[in-house]
Amino acid sequence: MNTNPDETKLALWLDDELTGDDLAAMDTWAADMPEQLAAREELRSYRKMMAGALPASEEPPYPDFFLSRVNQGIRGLQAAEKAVASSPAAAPFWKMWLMPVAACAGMVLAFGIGRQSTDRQAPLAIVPVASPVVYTPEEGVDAEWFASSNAGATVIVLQGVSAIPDSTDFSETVYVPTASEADRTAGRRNQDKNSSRQ
Amino acid sequence: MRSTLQSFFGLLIALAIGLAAGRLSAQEDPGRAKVGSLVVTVYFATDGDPKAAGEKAQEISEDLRTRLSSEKKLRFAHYRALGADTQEIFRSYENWAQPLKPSDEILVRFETRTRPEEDSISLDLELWLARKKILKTDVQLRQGRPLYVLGSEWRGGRLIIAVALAK
Repeated sequence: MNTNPDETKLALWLDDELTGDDLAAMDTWAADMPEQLAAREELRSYRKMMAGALPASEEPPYPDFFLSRVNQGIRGLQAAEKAVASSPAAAPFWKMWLMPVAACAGMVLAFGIGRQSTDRQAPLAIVPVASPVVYTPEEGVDAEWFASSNAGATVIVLQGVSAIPDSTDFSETVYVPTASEADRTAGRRNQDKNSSRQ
Repeated sequence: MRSTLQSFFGLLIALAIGLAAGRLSAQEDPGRAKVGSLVVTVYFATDGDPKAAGEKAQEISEDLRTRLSSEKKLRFAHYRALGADTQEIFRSYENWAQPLKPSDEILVRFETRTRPEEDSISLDLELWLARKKILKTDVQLRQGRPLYVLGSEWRGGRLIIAVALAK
């Protein structure tokens, strides 16, 4: 036969709210349960302390808080009873530390795998070669861009551009550069190893 | 007489204020600050007779000839320099180079795209041939690494427009 009281009756008993037969039955039930008696005594001393701190005419604040404390006490007691009945005394301590330790171990393992899977010589991000945007607004004109490692230059080859008439005589209009000006683009070459084409 | 003197001094003061204001305005415009110089050179490249470029066209150095001919697309038997123009690169304003001046057959418009670095600059660049915008591009120029554009045909050869940072 199940003689355990329900939560409401237990809470009323802990709060000294029961009277008559209900109180007698609960006292009988709790007579051989020192934890419940200790919990009731704790609550009584708590109520005394609060009653001394607050005016008699004023209700204690936060009734929800007290109720939650009671319920928490009940749950704690029931959990303690189950733990005592079903497992050795060292198990809660072991279980308490198992989760954090396992989590830390997992993090360390993942970090190690991540470091090993990355080539330390490789850059963190692939930086693309800066390729210019080439736009030819004239109809029929195309442009091919490429970086020439041989010439150490960026090269754009235009196709489809109208030829300049041979009659155009630049020798009459040209500003002829001096020898040094003519060779201004003949400076040092960058020794690019890669040549990319668009 | 007195009114004439007053007018004269008034004119002088107005001129002084105007000049000072103009000078101050020019000095305070950071957009006109020079951040580099660009040199645009036009070469005539041909497998035929280089004399077609005219007697005034300059021969180029062996170093430059080797450099140009090392790239297959730019490989020709002869090269001649037709003209060059060096222009300042402004911090935020565009500028134009006219390498065959006074002819406007070839024009290059350019302006900075990003803050220039010590030996490189990123430019918005346009090539105008025969008063038409033929090419628009963004290019990063570095010291010693020019942009070569193989352009129009002319007198049996091709024109190569070289755009480089001035040293």
